[in-house]
Amino acid sequence: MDNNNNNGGTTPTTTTTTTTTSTTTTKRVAKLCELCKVQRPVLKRPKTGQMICKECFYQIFEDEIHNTIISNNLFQRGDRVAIGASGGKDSTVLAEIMTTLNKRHDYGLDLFLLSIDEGITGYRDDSLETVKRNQQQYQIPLKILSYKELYNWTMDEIVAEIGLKNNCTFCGVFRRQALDRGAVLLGANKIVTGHNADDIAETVLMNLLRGDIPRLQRCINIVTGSEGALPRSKPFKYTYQKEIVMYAYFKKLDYFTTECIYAPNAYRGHARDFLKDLEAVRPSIIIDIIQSAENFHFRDEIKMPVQRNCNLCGYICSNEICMACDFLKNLNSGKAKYALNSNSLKNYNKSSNNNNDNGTTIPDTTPTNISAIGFDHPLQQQQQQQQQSSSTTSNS
Amino acid sequence: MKVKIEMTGGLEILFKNQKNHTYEFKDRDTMPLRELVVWMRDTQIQERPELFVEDSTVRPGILVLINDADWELDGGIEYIVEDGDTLSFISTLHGG
Amino acid sequence: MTDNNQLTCNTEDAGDNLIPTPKKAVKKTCVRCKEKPSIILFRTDPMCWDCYHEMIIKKFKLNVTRFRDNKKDVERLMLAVSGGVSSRVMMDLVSHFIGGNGSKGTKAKLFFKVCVVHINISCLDQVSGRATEQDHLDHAQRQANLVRSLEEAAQQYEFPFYNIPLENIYGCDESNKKERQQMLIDSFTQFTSSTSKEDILEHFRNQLLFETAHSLGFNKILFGTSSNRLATRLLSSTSKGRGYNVPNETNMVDQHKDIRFIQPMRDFLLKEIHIYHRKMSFIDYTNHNVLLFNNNSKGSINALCEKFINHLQDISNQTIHTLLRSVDKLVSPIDENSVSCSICCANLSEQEIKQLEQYSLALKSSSSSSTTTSTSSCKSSCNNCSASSSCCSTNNNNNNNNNNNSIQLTNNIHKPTLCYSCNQLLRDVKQPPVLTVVPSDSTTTPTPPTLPIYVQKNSTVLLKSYQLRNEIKDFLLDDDE
Repeated sequence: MDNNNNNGGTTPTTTTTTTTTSTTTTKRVAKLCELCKVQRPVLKRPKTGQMICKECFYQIFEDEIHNTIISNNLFQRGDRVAIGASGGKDSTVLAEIMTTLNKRHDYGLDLFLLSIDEGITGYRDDSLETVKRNQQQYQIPLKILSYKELYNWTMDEIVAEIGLKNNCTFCGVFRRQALDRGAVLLGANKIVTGHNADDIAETVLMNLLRGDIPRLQRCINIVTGSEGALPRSKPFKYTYQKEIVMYAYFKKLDYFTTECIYAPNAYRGHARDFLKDLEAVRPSIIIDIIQSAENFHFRDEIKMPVQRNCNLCGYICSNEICMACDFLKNLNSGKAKYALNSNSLKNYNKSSNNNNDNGTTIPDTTPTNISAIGFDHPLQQQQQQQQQSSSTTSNS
Repeated sequence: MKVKIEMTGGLEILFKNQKNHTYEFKDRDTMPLRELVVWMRDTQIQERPELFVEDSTVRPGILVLINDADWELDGGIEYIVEDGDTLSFISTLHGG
Repeated sequence: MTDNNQLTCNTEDAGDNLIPTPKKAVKKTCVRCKEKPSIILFRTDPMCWDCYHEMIIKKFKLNVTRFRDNKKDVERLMLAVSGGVSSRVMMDLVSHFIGGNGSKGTKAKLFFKVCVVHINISCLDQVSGRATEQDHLDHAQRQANLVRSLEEAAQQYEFPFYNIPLENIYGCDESNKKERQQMLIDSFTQFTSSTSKEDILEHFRNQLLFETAHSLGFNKILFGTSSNRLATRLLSSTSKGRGYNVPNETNMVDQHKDIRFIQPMRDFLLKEIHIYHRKMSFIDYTNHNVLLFNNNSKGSINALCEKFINHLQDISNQTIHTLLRSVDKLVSPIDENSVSCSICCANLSEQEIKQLEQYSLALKSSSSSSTTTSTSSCKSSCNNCSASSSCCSTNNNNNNNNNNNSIQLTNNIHKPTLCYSCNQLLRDVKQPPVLTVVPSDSTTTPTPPTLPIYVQKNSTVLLKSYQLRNEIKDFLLDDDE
């Protein structure tokens, strides 16, 4: 690691360094935590620009999430809450925070960890090990439910069958149901997921770019799904990704950082990079976007799909059979690759986006282009759709 | 000068899959952080350097800690790295 | 079916759902007349110049005339032109459909009264951070050329032309022009980020156009904003927390009190406008306003949004249309209770109105007398300060005291009378913001940063109306008991 030859000649060499250890402390001598005015700050809060120390950060981070939970009435005493746990940073911090707050403020919740094993070798099997360690640490029951048990297909097998196009759509549709079914198996009546403010801001941008108005309406809700489906909430709705990562780092939480090997979603990648560029210019931008989206008002004529039950599995859906069953039927008959490109996805997009000038970024002329951009946050979507549909149908 | 570098959150993949690195610059006492990251990009990364450095600063979405504190407290990319500093680079972009 | 067995080989389709626009060869002849060679690909149709020209005029005319209230009345249109390509083309389009130049259709001309207004921002050159004296001179020269060419164009179309300097936002007394310029420059330098500078420029410009339209007796202002710019604005406004007002800012029409801001170029891509511009051999004196304050490497939010839109549009040419279709589905609910922000005139959201109500109640209970004394002098609306430089002497409040035309940037503004985004804007001020009315015993302010008086007027009038409402409510309640 002494690969310093390109610096060698550039600077005049001086005498030996004298005060190496004291320098870092003297540099920040003037700055103190803006909250306690005692400790050295370790973090500049993106939301407010405040410089705060580690202890104050823990305090304010936890308090804000507690406030979000209380002011939105996310839980009732006695609720059995399944934490959607992927082993990644968000869900790991969520598990930590939920256990901490449940104890500290005596929510009276029964907590469970719920992981979905999609069957992706080298990705999910590793991250599940992380979740298992979390289970040990927090002493909460863990349920792992696999695609294989539920659908008799692993994602590896599905990808082998249909290729890498649209596999995220499959996976999203399956996972959405799997979380619900897993929660039911655990006897849970609520689900929490680790979607954070950055995720939501990103989804808002994505839905604007796709012209997907129904999802644009839904993605901003903190609680989604009701009437038949389990309510699903996002306690991190107003929490910055940066602070979640900081929290995990300072608390030395054990999380898994590999990107899904099948998930190179270029379009969401564009939106994510864009958002990060914006955030670099003005850190409050994440919350500003959420503020904007909460204040969007939609024309009344936008119809929501009517809710019903799947003829095959009974899951809530907007067609005769649900998307998962439809996909499965095609997979089992070996027609998935063809069907995905023609009917199913088209229907799927239509059901989400009832206006027929379907506002994807795709020219209408090429049918194979019908795609479901960025379904990699599907958990929050269909449930909302159902919630919306039930409320609008009763009105009309 | 000697600096310790820590890569986490998925960034370590770019750096020979190693989390911890120590770099020593024998004839330097200090070095602008900007120079250091560009040097790291040019000499330490085998592929996809754009995932680490963009427009001669650390790519947005990568969190930087200088001696365990937010780099924004120290002027961000304008910081002058000194002997004994520990720099942590944490990707916030990977996984959920 | 299973030709893609290699799981790790994800380069060929990579789940990339942003489908690039197919680069197929375009037929050479126009789809309309089927004779002449095509010069433009409009959406998916190749078109010749004549057919394209005819079509764009028709579309444009439709966009303008759909907002006519009464076909028998004379339609009074004020064209807001920056001198950029879009607004230059817009002048031409207006003249075409009302039959300017004494050409065909002079009858239509009787029903339209058109004027052209240019807000001249040359005095902001000092804020832009240009390096050398020569740069400044070059810029001044370009600016002068721009104004002259606009004036000539307006003359050619027989439209009256008004060149309004931006410093008139502080009043229009010729005797203190230098002072007003300095106030403007001070207030701009007070903002740290280029985003804020660009935004405040936009707000001032709109306000000045609004005032100008009032004083000239126009009730519709046409803007030359292309669909590219509006799509950019959708993203940038969303990013700045202006969601409630986004539909107003990006749809075809925005009701600004009694004046309509109309975007008749909303259907046209910059590419299409540029082709028109070239074909007509107009000269481009564009002053790139977006880049005006771009002196740091990070760039502004607006510039980033523009870059992003261009990038996506490059990949898929449906991007901009899709974005604008998204906005079509949004509305800004406007009812009799709508209240607008004192700086940018955006409608306040229900939540913001609620905060304003609470604030006015709290003020009343504390010291209502001290805060409302200043309102008596400014109960008249914003139009008493005309923007056109000729009619100032009649104004009632610019002779008393020059300071009347400005207020300290953050003093005297009741924050709840501002929208979320403008509150963010004021947070970007170098001096620590003072939140509410503070008696000015602070001697430490070196150069007091200034906002135009209209802001305070709006703010006080708005607050006054709420306090009045409270009093009436109290009165009625007392009566009940």
